[in-house]
Amino acid sequence: MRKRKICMGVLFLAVLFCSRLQFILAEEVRQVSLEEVLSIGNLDDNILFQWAGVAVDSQNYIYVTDAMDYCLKKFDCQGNLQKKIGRKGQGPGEFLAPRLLDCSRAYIYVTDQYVPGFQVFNKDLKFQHRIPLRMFINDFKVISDSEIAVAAVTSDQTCRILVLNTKGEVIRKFHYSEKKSSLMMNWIDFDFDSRKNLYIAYNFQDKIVKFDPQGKKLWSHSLMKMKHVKKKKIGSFIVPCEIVYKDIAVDSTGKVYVLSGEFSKNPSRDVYVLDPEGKQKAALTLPEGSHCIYIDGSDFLYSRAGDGITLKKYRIIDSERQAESMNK
Amino acid sequence: MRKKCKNLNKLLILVVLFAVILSLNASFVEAGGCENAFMRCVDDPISSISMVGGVVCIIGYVFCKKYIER
Repeated sequence: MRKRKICMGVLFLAVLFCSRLQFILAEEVRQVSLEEVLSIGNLDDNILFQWAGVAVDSQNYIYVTDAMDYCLKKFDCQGNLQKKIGRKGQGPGEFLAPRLLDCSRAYIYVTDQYVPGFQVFNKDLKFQHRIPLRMFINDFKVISDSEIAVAAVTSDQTCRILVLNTKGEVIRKFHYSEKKSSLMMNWIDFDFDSRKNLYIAYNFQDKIVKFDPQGKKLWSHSLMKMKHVKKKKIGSFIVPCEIVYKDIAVDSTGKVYVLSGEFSKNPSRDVYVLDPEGKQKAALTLPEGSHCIYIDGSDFLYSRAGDGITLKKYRIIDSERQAESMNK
Repeated sequence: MRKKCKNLNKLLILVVLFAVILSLNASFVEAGGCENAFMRCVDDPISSISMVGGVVCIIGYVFCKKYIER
């Protein structure tokens, strides 16, 4: 009986110690705040109807795809509409469902959900040419004027990022996972930092991964501490029903911003801020849910509001970053 | 006493089995808006002829999950 009491006591102390240790080891996560600096579109002005993609060029012009207006729009840094191009159709400069976009120094590249490949426009939104591809695109980033990195949707479920030239020819292939997984489970969003390191956020897995420019995996982290997402059988497909991460973006200092999906406290609003080593250092919460985040060259963050009729631009107010810049 | 213990073990096994079955079922959830849209897309004979397999439906499904659902 006495032995039992001693054992219970030791067990209790061990549990207490472990919980305290966990508390001590857990690093403090700062809450970063946002200051709204620009808002484009509202219910009254008919400027945006359902924007899907956003990109900002080196002169701070903002380019937006508007899915319900079937067009590509260009705004100046004050949010004034400069130009728009497009209508419903499949001809040059026409769209069925414009989605992703990114810009190089000279061109804007735009995808369409129903048409594989890219349409290329110059900065005046004049249609230049089409880059035909056989595969559809899940995500892409323009690396330079001559290279585009594409997460392609392939029928064999392989996990590849293809680097294409401006003719759409594959220059390099990069396998980000050796495992073949079930439908959509290997879908990703990705971004590069200034050193060409690659950051990947899986849409339906709790996984953020970093690769160096040579393709060596540097780290892999799970922020949600979850194992599986729920799935549903639809026709002959078994599809994942819960999205874990919606987007990933890297700022000029190498901080990684990950937009949460359904598993965070504030779904589609919580953004986790990781350092280049993958440790979570801070978090911020968007005022409204967004399908994507974009960080421009001056480290302003763009996200959705008003169910797609508004594009918001925010200054990221991070006390640590301010202290760093003061020291410099 | 021994019989009682055996019964308790059986009950425990049943409870564990029940829990396993429940958790397996939980991984297939009720259809939401995006799931319904995906179902309509893959069942649509016109779209299945004009589209490359179900790829367009899949792309639309992921966009819907990101855009619509919170």
